[in-house]
Amino acid sequence: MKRSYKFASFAVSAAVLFAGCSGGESGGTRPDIVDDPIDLPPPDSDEWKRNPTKDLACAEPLTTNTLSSPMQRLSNVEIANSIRALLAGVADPAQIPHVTSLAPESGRFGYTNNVAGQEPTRVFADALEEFAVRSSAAAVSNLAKLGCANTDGSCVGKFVRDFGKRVFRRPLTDVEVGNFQAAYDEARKAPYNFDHAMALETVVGSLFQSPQFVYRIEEGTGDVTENGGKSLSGYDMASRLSYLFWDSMPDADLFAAAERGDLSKTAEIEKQARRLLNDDRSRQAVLTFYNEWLHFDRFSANVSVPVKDRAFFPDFSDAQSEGLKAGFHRTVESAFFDGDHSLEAFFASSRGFVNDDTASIYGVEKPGSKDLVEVQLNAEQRAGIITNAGFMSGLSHGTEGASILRGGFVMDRLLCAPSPPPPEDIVREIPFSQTEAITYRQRVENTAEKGQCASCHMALDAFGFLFENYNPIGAWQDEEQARFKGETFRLPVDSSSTISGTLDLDGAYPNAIPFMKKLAKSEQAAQCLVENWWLWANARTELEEDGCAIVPLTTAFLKSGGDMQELLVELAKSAPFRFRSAAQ
Amino acid sequence: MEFEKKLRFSRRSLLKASALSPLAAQLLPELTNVAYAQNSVPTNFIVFYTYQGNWPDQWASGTGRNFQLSPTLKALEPFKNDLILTKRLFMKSAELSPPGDNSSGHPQGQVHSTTSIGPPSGKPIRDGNPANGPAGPSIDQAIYEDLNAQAGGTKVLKKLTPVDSIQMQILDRSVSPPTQMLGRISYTSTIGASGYAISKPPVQSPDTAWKNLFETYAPGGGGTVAGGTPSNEQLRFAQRKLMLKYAGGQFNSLKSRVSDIYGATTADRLEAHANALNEIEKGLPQLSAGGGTVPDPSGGTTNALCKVPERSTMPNPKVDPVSGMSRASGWWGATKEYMPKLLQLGIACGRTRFAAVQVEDSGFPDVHGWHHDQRKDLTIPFHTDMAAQYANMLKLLKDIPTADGKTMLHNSVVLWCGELGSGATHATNDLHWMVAGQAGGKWEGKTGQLIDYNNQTPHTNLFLSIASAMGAKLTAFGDPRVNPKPLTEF
Repeated sequence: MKRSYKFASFAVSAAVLFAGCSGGESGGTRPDIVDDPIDLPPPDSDEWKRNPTKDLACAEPLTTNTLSSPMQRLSNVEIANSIRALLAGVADPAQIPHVTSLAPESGRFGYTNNVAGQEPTRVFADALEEFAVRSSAAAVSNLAKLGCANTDGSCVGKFVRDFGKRVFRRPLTDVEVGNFQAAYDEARKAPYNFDHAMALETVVGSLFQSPQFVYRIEEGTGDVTENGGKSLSGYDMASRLSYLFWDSMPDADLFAAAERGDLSKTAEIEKQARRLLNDDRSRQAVLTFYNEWLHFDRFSANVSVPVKDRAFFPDFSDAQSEGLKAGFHRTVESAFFDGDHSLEAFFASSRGFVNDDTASIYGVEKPGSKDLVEVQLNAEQRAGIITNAGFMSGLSHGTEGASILRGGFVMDRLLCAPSPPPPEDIVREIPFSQTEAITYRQRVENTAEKGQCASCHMALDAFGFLFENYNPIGAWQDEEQARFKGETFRLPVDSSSTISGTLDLDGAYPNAIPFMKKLAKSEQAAQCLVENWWLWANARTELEEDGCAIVPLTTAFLKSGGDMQELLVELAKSAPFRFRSAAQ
Repeated sequence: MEFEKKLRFSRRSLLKASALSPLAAQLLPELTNVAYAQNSVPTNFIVFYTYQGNWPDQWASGTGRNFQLSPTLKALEPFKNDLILTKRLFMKSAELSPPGDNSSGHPQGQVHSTTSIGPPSGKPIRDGNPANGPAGPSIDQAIYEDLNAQAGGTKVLKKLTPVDSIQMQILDRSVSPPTQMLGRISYTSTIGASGYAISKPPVQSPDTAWKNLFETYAPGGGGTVAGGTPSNEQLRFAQRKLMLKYAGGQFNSLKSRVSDIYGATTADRLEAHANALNEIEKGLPQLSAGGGTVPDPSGGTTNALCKVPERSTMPNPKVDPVSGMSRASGWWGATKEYMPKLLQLGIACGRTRFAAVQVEDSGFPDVHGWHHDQRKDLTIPFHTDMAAQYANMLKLLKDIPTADGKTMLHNSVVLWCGELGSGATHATNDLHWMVAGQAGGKWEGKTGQLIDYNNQTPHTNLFLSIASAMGAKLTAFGDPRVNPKPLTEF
C-alpha cells in the first residue's frame, strides 16, 4: 500500500518545480485541478529508496485473483458515455449534457478514475443531479423510441426492467423494479399529478442517480476458487471489458455473451476484447489513458500562446498550439492502432503528423494542408512520442529549458521510479548568473545539483538534460536563447548525459534520440507501461502484491514484441482481471 | 436575440413600468417600491474583478475632489460622483510572503488581491490551479459570513438571502484554452485538510447563473401560498425531489450488501453519497398537498412581483461533439450581456446581496503578451472595455429604484479590483482600484474623490473600510502581520 504515495508524487513535485524554476511569472492556464496536494512522505523517507522494478517480483503467477478490486465509481467520461449510449437513437445528442458539465475530477492519485480520489462530495452529487435531470428530459422527448409510449402507464413495469437493465448493467431485482414503479405511481398522483411523460422522466432521472448506475458493484457468482479468488458474474465481466476498452457501458453483444455465461471463458473474453478494440469507441478510451499516463491532460495547457515568452517566440500562434496538441493526439492514436502497435514504434518512430501551421516547428516542408498529414520527420531529431513537438512544448516553461520537469517526468511516468519531492524549506529558484550569460542547464548544475538537493537532482536532471535540444515550443535547437543584463544571447546546447541506476538504460548518451531508442526496447519501460495499464484497469493505487499481476503481463508483453494492443487483450484475459479477491 | 427580448414580461407589466428609466422599464417593470418594500434597505457588495492591472498614466489624474478621468475611463463619467478612487494601494501581504511563495505576478496577485493573505505556512501558491490557494477567506465571503452569523445563520443556514453569494465569470469560451487567467477570487473561511481555504468557483454560463440564482425562486413572494396552482417551475422542483428520493432509497438498500462485498469503508462512501443526495433533496422546495410550495425557510426577501426570465432563454455553451471542447461562438458577448443583468435581477429580487464578477481577458487575445511588450497602444482598448463593463454594472444598479427613494447603487458597494498594479510590470503595488456606491448612505459625502495612498497603505485597509460600511464586525482579516486599519478617508 505504501507505494501509492510514490505514484502520485510527480503530480505534486512537478507542480512545485514548475513554479519554482520558471524564472518568472506565468500567465498561462493549466487544467482545472481543484484538489489539495496530498501529503507525501518526507524526502529522506525510506519510501523513496526502493526500486519499483525490483519490488515488482512475484513468486508465481496468480491463477486467480487475490488482489483487491475496489468498488469503482464511473468516471465523468464513463458517466457521460454511458448515458449517451443509453439514449442513442432516442434523444437528440445535442440535448444530452457534455461531460464537462460534471464536477472536476481529482488528479491527486495519479489517474482520474482512481477510487481514492473519487470522494462523493456534494459538488459531485450536485453536478450529477443536474446532468441526470437534463438527460432524463432528453430521454422522454420521444416516448416511442424510449420504449414506453402508453400514456396509461401500463408499459412502465416492462420499461423499468428493460431500460433499467441497461442502466444498471445487469437485470433488476423485483424489489428494484418495484421501487421505480412506485416512483412512477407517486408522480402520477396528487399533489404531483404529472402526466405520463413527466412521471417517466422522473423514473429515468432517478435511475441515472442510482448507485447501481454510478458505481460498479460486482456481485459475483458466489463461487470462490481454492486460491481465494471470487468469480465475477457475466455482467460484472461485461462491464469490466466495456469500461476498459470503451469507457462506456456494455453493448448488446456483451450483454448477450453475459447472459449466455460465455464471459467466464477465456476464449470468449479474448474474442470480445479484440472486437472491442476494433470498434472506434476504443480510440477515445485509449487516448484518454495515454493522456493521463503521460500527464498530457495537464501539460497540454502549457502549449499555449500566453505561456510562451513572446520575446523569444513572437510568431508562436494559437493555430500552432492547436496543431501541436492535435498532432500529439494523432501520433498516439496512430502508434496504438496502426502499424505493429509496438512500444518500440511508440517511443522511437520518426513518423509524425504535421499541418501547415506546425511544419516549421518540425523543420519539414508544409504539407499544403490545414489537416494533419503523416510525414517522415528528421530521424536525428525525433524519436517517438516523447520527442513529439507538442509533447515537448507541454513539458516546457515559457522561456527556457525544463530539464528538471522533464527529468522528473521520465523517472516517474516512463520508468515508474519517481524522484522524491524537494524539501519544503528550500528556496525553489534557479538563479541567473551575475557574471555571464549561461544556459539553463548550467544554472541548474550550479544550484540544484549543489548541497542538499544534489543527491536527487543529479539523478533526475541526468534524464532531463537529454532533452535540452527541445525549446519551449517543441522545436529542435542547437543553441538556446538566454538573457543576461537585458540582452539576449545564443548559447550552444549541451544535451549529453550519463544515466545510471536503471534496470537496463544505464550509459552515456549524446542526446535524447539514442536514449529514446534504447528506452523503446527497455524492460523497465515496458513494465512501467504494463503497471500503468494495470492500475488504470483497476482504478486504484498500487499494492505490493500487484507484481503478481504485472510481472506475467510484462513477460507476455515482451514476448509479443511489445504489442500494445496485445497487452490489453492479455490484461483482459489474465486471471487477476477476471476474478476478484474474496477476502475483502 | 438580445437579452431583453428573451424576458417574458406581460404587456400589463410593461405599462406599469413606464415611469421608470428605460432599462428598468424593460427589465424590471414592477419593482418600484416593491423590491425593497422594507423599512431598511440592505446593502450589497459586489467585487468586480479584471486582469492585467492598469496603465497608471492612463487612469485618472488630480486628487481629492479635483480629479479627471482619463479617456480610458470615459465610460465612468456619469458615475464620477458615485466613485471613490483609491490610487496606489499596495498588497503588503504579498510583500510579506515567504520565499517559497515565489509565484510572482498573476498567481500571487490573484491569491492576495481579495484575501490579503498568502498560502498556508510552508506551502506554495498553487500556480496553475484555479483555486490558487490562500490560507484565508476573501473579503466578500468574510463579510457575508459575519453578517450571516450576526443574523443567526451558520455555514449551512443562510439567514440573509436564499442564495448566499454568486460568483460569475465573463469570458470567451470560443478560444482555447477558454480562459487566459484561470483563477478564483472568492474563498470561504472553511479551510481544507491541506490548509488552503476552500474556494467558490465562478459560473461561466448564464444558464448556470440562472440556476444558482433562481432555481428555487418561487414567484409569489417570500415563498408561496399553499393551495395555489403550482407553476411549471414548482412542478419541476418537485420532480427533482422525487428523483432524489427514489435514487436515495437505492443507496439505503444497497449499503449492507456493499459492506458485505467491499467492507465497511466502501459502504461509508456510499452513505456519504446518499447524504449528499439527501442534502440536495432537502434544499428543494416541497410541493404541498394543495399545490404551491411551502415558504422558503431561508428567509429570503423574494419579491412577489419580481419577474424572472425563463431558464430556457439563457444561453448555454455549445459543445463541439468531435473535440469535446466547450465552445460557443459569441460567448464573450453573451456573458458580457447576461451576467450583469442576471446579477441586477438577482439583487433586485432579493436572491442575494453578494457577488463576484470576474471579467477574463480572453475576449482580447494577446492582451497579456502585449502588456509584457509594453504595447500601450494595443492594450488601451482592453482597459477601455473593462471600464465600460464596470460602468455598465453601475448603471444597472442605478437603474433600480429602492424603497428608501434611492437606488440599488446607492445601497451597494461595488469594488473594482484585480490581481496586478501596473500591467506592464506585473507588480502587486501601484494598485489603481476604486469603489462605487454609497454603502446605503454610509459613504454619502465621501464619494466623488480620488485618494492617493502613494504605495504606503495596504489594500487590506480598504477591505476593513468596506466591511465596516457593510455592517460587518471583522476583528481580523488577512495576514495579521499587515496590521490593517480602516481608511480614515472612508
